Amino acid sequence: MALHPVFVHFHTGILAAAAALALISLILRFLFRDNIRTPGTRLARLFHYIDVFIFIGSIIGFIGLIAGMITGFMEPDYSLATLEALPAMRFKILWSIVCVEIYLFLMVVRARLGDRVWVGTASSLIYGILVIVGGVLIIIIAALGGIAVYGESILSPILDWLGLPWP
Amino acid sequence: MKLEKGAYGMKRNQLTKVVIAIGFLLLLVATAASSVRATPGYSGGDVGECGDCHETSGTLTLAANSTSLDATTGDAFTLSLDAGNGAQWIAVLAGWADNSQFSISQKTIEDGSTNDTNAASGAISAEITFTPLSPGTLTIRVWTAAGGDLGTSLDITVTVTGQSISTTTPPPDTQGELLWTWRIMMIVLPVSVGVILLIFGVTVFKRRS
Repeated sequence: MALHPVFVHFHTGILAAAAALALISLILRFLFRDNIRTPGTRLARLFHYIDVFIFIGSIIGFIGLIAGMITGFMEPDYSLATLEALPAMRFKILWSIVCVEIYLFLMVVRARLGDRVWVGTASSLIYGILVIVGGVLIIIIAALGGIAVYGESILSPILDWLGLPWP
Repeated sequence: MKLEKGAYGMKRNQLTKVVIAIGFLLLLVATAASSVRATPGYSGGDVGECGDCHETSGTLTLAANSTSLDATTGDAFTLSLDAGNGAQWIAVLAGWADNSQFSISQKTIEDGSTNDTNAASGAISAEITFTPLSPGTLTIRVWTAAGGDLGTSLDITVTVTGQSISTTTPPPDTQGELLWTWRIMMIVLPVSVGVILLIFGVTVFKRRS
């Protein structure tokens, strides 16, 4: 029974959305820094919601990635030897592990510091960029899964346009 | 007003809402899981036919330039397939009829994809090349389906002469140089990412705690 698809689509969408929100958040923070730091303003509330979304997204991402990896190795059509032989699957496995590390880190940092991660240029930049990196990785990992199953991905025209080869 | 950890710390009375939200998410996963159970042969197995689920036939149109032809093993021939009236996919999967007795150039074609030569939405025109692998009177089964309940199939009879061709797929090269690079990277990359993240944690984030 193909369980892997059930455990991958949901958190992939959430983490891609979190990456987009982190990018917007980083850009707007540099444009409207004072406004965001004033409690009670609409922007402050908006960024609070973005912060919570990214935090919960990191938790879901961490759990989802673990579940995705377990169910991925359980797939009847892909034995360990097959997974190891296919370049796309090797890419997925390797960068899934890196993704797990990134979201574990984001989760722990946000849980310990609260929304103070967004105070200060260095911490907000690193936190935001890691969310974006994790999101981009998970999008590519998911697209490779799509290619393995359907032969093409919604990401194909974008990578073709950028001139980037598939792994 | 005394602020707790973080300016917008979660209140205790929000716990119920969080539990309800997590319950809803678990329900979503359970629903998705049950939908997968309903069609176990669909993904990857090449077994289930489109008509198992797309039960309303007759609305979509599906035609080929020939429905009965002669062929020789090893000699490729091309069929022009036209689907219309809302068709979203054309598929010729290996598990249907005698499709496994042919090498097929393109097993699935989606409306609007690069292999679809008909620019109109809901209509697909494609040329698929078949190479017979064994002799006999064989049937190629083609399905077209739309997003809802619609599906239509077409059977093409091919009388194949000649000797059988074995199509043994060479085993993948598991001893390649790239494989060993990957095995090394499986250790080096996670460790180095972990070290970088720890450095970030100590130098950037610990200062803020």
